[in-house]
Amino acid sequence: MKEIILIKVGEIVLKGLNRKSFESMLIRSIKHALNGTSQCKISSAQSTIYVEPCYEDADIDEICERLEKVFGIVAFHRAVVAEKNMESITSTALSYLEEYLESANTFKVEAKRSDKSFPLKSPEICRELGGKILEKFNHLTVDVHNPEIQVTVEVRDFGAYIHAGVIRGAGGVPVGSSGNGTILISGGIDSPVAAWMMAKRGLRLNAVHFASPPYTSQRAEDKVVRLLKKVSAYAGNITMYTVPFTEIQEKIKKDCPEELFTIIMRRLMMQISQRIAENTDSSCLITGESLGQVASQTMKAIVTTDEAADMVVFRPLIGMDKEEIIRISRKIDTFDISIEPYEDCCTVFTPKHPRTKPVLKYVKEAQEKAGFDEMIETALNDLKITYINP
Amino acid sequence: MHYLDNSATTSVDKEAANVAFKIMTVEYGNPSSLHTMGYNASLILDEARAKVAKSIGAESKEVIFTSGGTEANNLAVLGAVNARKRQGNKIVTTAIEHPSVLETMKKLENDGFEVVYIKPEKDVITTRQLETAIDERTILVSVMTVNNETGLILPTDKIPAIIKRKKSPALFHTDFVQGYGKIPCRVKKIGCDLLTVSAHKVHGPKGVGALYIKKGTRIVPHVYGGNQEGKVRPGTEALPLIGAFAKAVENFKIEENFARVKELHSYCMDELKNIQDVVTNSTDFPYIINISTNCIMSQTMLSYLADNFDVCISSGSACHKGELSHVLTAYGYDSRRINSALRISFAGDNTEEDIDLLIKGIKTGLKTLVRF
Repeated sequence: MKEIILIKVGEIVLKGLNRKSFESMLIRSIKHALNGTSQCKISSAQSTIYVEPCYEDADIDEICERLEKVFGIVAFHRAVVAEKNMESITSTALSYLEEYLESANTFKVEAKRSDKSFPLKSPEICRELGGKILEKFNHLTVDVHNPEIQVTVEVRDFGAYIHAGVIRGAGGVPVGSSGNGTILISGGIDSPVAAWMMAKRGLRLNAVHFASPPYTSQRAEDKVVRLLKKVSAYAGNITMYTVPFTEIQEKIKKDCPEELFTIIMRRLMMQISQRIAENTDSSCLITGESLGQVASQTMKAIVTTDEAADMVVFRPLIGMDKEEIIRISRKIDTFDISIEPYEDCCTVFTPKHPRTKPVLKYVKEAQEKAGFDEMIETALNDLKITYINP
Repeated sequence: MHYLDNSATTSVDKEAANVAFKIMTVEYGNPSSLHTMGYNASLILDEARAKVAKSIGAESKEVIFTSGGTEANNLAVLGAVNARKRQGNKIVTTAIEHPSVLETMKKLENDGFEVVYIKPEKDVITTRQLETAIDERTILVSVMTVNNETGLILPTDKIPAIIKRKKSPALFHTDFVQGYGKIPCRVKKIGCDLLTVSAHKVHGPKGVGALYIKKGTRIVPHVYGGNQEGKVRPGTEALPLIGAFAKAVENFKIEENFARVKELHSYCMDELKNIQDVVTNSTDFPYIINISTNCIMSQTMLSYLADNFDVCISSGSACHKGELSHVLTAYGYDSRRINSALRISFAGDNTEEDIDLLIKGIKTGLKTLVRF
């Protein structure tokens, strides 16, 4: 029996004249996501994308698992193909759904006939197939309001498709459809979630990570690579730029007032990230800041940090509680990596009493007095590039 | 590489590794099989058991092999408590035990047992503290012989007398992992009912250890299966690892190494004393030195020494960001001291050169690294 997958696209259908380009971007995402699994033919017709495995023994479970991570897919069905006549539809449905029907008590049949040349009308299809199901599985009863199993028959242009269940997709819009963004990632819980959320809204990602060896270890950097790998299962390929940050951090510690360490460090991170973003065709920065979470994320601190960048900064977690962020990080499987105990650039030299209401003027003065321009150039010349694939 | 982290693990003795190889490729029979191959394997197992038993002054039948120190500690603690739970509800241990004991104790606490964790007072655990804690309701006393982070030596030899005097039904278990192969081990002299050792701390392979169970002592297993290891720890014996373990034990040079390490220890301590920022957290046991710099994070100094001087040491802590070493916390040290703790641990094959590089590394690090 030949199984295929019918993908329902969500808000893409509302995109009017741009719909075609969204759709082709989604198809590209799907192709990319299925890279390395069983070979499939992907096509689109009648607001549905068809994923059709080329061989009988394709690993459909694996294909479904990967499709669940493709942004732009609202839901999909795993369906079986029958010929467009009632005999074939009935026999295929009975054998394909045998296990489901054996284990249920109630069911209903729904039919969608988009090929109007099919001789039976939708209610007639339902009646006929429902009758055959009841005949074979006499423990079942029909419940049209709240069935345990809904058997759906879709009679379309190229065949009849039968399925009994819907798999929820990741939602969002196709990666790349909104342009490119640059995520600042430390290795904590928040930034991978922020990256995932913006990829969901169609951004293709670059990542910037600040490494301060020996204050931070190789393992801290490896950890970030592993986090990004998890994100890339959704977001597609990610290019990571590792910034050598040791000298800058040492200088902050030496030449800036202690209570401003963190805020000046974050301003410098913004400046460096912006430069990288500009050079790599990114139009925005993304951070995992959440208002009031820590001293550097108070209103005043964020305003002071923000001033360092001329580029728009997206902070998708700004209104979220830690609990909510953790829930997503568990869902995308980054939580367990995030909590590994390696020092990262944000935990080195944390002041005892950071200023929670920094005044921009003084922060800027302190930063200018210390003078980081030359060091920023050196750091930018020494970037390490890592390519991350799912 | 200058490896000064021998309390974490050690290099495997080449002869021991060869034994494992030979058992894997030639004498690969199952000791429980009745044919010649099986019989030969069972002879290897018997011989290995005899060697390990001898190394702790026990009889062969008092030794069972496990997958390592963690499993042996779990088996000892859970097995003893389950065997004695009708005679009392109290367990006495220390706050500085290895996690494989402490976490098991936590589980028992959740199950309703009362667990007393003795904390060091002025950097030591005293007989008096043990006397106060142990009573007639105590069913298990589990106290390590040598602490793995500080090298503190605990007064385990006094415990059997206290148990007797208090008319306590307690079994006495000691985690001997850090002392094994470094100081003599005589179970009769210690007077313990249960004792844990591990192979990979003594130039044996990882994945094997042993539990001494005194003749006549009953403990309840928590794994069920065949008849192996007196049914206390069933499962086909890991013969290549056990054989290699026994070879490593056979090659112990306790006195010779102790003398050598003592020299290295005093050489290293003399140098460390000259470094202004360094404070010592323990000097009890020549094999382990624990110090704090009070100004450079442990992780930073470790990476710095490894990257620039090829020197491997470890942090005193369990390496948890924000979560301090439970041992040094129990000592009552402040967070600066705990956050900057370093553990240096020797083996007989270390040299003065290793120490020279370590000292040079720490000195340069203290000069160039930015302090927290």
